[in-house]
Amino acid sequence: MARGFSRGGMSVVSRDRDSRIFNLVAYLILTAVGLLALYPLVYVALMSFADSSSISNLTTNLIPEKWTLSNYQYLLVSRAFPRSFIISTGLMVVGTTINLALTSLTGYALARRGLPGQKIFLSMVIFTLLFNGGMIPSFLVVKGLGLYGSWWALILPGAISSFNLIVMRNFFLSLPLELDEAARIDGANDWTIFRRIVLPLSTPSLAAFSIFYAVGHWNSYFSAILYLTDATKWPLQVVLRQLILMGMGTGEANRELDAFLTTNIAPASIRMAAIVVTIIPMLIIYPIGQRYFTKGLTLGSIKG
Amino acid sequence: MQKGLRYMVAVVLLLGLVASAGCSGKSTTPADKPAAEPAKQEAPVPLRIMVDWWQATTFEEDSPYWKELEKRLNIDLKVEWTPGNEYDTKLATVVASGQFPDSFLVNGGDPNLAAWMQQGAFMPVGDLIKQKMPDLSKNINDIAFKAVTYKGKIHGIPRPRAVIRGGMVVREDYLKKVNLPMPTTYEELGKVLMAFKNQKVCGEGKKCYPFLAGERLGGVGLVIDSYAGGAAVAWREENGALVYNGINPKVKDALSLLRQWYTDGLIAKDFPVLKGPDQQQIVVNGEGATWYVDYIQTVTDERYNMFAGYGVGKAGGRLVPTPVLKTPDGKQLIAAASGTNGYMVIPSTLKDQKKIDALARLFNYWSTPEGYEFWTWGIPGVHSTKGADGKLQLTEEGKKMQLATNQGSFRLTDVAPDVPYTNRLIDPPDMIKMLKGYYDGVNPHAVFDASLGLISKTKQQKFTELQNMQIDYFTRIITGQVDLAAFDEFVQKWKSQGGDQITKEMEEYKKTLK
Repeated sequence: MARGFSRGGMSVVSRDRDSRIFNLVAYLILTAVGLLALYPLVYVALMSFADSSSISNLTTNLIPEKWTLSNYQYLLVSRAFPRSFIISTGLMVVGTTINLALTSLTGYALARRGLPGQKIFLSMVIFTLLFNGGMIPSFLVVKGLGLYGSWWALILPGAISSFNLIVMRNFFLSLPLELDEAARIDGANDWTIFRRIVLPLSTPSLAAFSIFYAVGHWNSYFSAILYLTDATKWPLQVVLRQLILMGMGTGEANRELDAFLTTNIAPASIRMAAIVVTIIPMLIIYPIGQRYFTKGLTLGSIKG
Repeated sequence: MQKGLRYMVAVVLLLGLVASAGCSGKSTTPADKPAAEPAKQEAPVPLRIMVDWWQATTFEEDSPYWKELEKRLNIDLKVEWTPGNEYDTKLATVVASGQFPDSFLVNGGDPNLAAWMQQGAFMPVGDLIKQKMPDLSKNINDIAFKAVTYKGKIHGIPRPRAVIRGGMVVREDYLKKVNLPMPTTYEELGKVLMAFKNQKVCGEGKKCYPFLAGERLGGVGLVIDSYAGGAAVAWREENGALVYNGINPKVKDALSLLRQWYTDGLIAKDFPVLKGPDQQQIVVNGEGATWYVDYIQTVTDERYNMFAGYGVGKAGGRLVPTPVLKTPDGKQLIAAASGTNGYMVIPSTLKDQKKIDALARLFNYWSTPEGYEFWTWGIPGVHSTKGADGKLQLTEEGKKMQLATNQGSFRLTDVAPDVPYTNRLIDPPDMIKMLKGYYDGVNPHAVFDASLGLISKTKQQKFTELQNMQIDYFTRIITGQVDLAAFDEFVQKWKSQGGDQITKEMEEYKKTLK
C-alpha cells in the first residue's frame, strides 16, 4: 500500500480508513438486520422445545425453563402430520420432475429452428405469461379434465411455468448450432442430442428451476383446498394451517393422543414444532441450490 | 421413417399423460361406479356434499361407522371436507362455476347468500322439510329460517344450534380467594376484577388477566352488546323502525367502562392481538380469571371440558358461568345468535328426485330416535356393548367414534336436543340439569338480530368493511389511542359510508314482506 500519495485531494491512507469505517458500519447494519430476521425463527425453534409451563414465560424469557421433545413426539404419533409430510414430499418430487421434464422439452422444441408453428406456440406461451384465466376458469378446466379430487390437479395445471420456459428456451438458443451439427454427423438424433449434449450443459438452469418448482409444490396450499376433496390427501401446509387455526392439536379421534396432549404439552408448542418440521426441508434445499441461482437464471436471460 | 416413429412416440406419450391424468383417485360420479350387482334392493343413491371442517383430520369414509350409515340410509356418501377458514372462497368458486355438489353448506353470514337466493341458485326446501324431515323440523327454532327465507320461501336447511351458546365465565376459586360473591352487575364485576388484580389471584410473580379479552373485541364485545341493546353488529326494532345497535349512544358508556378497565390494567394491554388459541393457553396456565367462552359446555361438561386436563378444572380451578350482567340502567340482555350454524342448501339444478329424497333422509336421520341412538352408541358390538348392569356403554372404539362425531359434526345437520350440546342417552343427568339451568337463566334475556332475513344490496357490498371500521374504532377507544369523542366520528362515518343506506334498504325490503 502506497502511503502519502494524493489523488483528488484525498490520501490513500485516509481512503483506506474511510473504507474500513464504511465496511464496519455496513457490517453492523447488516448484522442487525440479519439478527432481526433470524429472531422469529429462533423464537419458533425454541418454543417448539418448551413444555407447557414455560410457554407463557417465553414473552420475557427466550430460553425455555423446561425443555421437552414431546411436541415432536406428538406430531410423529399423530396420523395427520406424518401423512401430510409424506404427501407434500411426494408432490414435490413428482411435481418437480414433471415440471423440469416438460419445461426443458418444450423449451428445447421451441428453441430449435424448423419447428412448424414455432411463432404461434411462442405467442401462446407469452400470452399466458401476461394473462391468467382466473380461479373460476381454472376450476372448470380441472373439473372438466377429471382431475378434481386428485393430486394431479396440483401438478398438471401448473406443470410449465411460462417464465421458466422462456428463460430455458433462450438458454437453448444460446447454444451453438455447431454442437448439433457435430452430433448429427456422429449419427445422433434429436432425442440423443437433447439428452446427451443439451441437458448436461443446462444443469445450472435446471438446478435453479428445480428449486423454484420444488418450493412451489412444498408450499401448495390454496390449490389443495380448491381441488382436493378428501382430507386424507391434504398436503402439509393445509394441515399446518388447520393446526394453527384450531390450536388444540390435530383433532384426531384418538384418546391416547388427547391424553398426551393434555398432560405433557401446550398446543402452542405443537404449532411451533409443526412449523419447524415444515421449514426444515427448504432450509436444507436452499443452500444446496443457492449457488446455481444466479448462474442458472442469467444463462438464459442473455440472448446469444 | 424415423420422423414417423418420432411422431408416434410423441402421440403415445401424450395419450399416456392424459390417461394418467384421468386417474383421479376415488370416483365421485355415478358414471365411474362399477356395474351394480344384481340387486334385491335399490342401488345406493350416490350423494356428494360439501361442508366446512376445522380440524386437521376428518371422519374417514372407510370406517365401519360411515359404512353402516350408508347402509342404513341406502346412500353412497362422499363428503368434500373443506378447511373452514377458506370455505367461503371455495364456495364462491364452486357456485360461480356452476359445478355444484348435490348439497353444500352456506354460512349464515356469507355476504353472497342473499344474492344467490335472489338469483335462484337454491331449491326452495320448505315443503321438503315439512314432508320429509319431520323430526328435524321439530328441532329447529323458527328464527333459524329467517336468513334463508326469500319471497316467503325457505331456501336452506338450518344446522340447528343453540341461540345462546356461550357466555362469561369466571374462576370459581379466584372468587373465593378474594371473598366476593358472583357479580350480577357490571359495577360488581369491576370490583371483582380489581380485587383479582390487587390480590394477585393468579399467583405471585405470575402474569394475570383479570378480564381476558382477545382480538376483534373478543370478550369485551359481550359488555358492548349489553349496553348497545343487542349485538353491536346487529339491528333492533325501536318503535317499528330498524336501529343499528353499534351506533347506540349507550355504547359510549360501555367503551368508557372498558377504557377505564384497560387503564387500570384489568384488561391485557395486548388484547387486540390475542388469538383464540392464545387465550386458551392463558386460561390453561391459570392466568385468565374472567373470560368469554363460545361454547359454555367447554367449561361445564367434563367430557368436553378442554381445560380439565390442563389444570383448570382440577382441584377447584373451575370456570363457572356468570349470570347475564345488568347495566347501570338496569338492562339485562345477551345477544342471541340466529339459531343455526349455517345452512345445507340444495342447488336448484338438482332434478334427481332420488337424490333429493336421499338428502332429506340423511339430514332428518339424526333427529329420529334411531339416528339419535346411532349417533350416541354407534354399531352395537363394535362401538357399544351391554355392561353387567344391562346398560349400554361405549367400547374404546366407541369412545373414539364419539370423540370424532362430537368434535366435527360429522352429522351434517345437528341434533339440537332439548338442552343444547347434551346427549340425553349418555350424559349424566346432573350435568344436563346444570346446563339446562344455565340456558333457562340466559334465554329470557336473549335479544335477536331484527335484520335477520332482510336483504340489502349495500349490506352485501359494504357491511364487512363497516364492521372492520367499527372494530378498529372501538379498539382504539378502549386502548386509549383516541378519545371517547371518536365514537361520534365513528357514528358519522358509519352512517355516511353505507350504514344508513343499509338500514333504508332493509326497511324497504321489510315492507315487501307485508
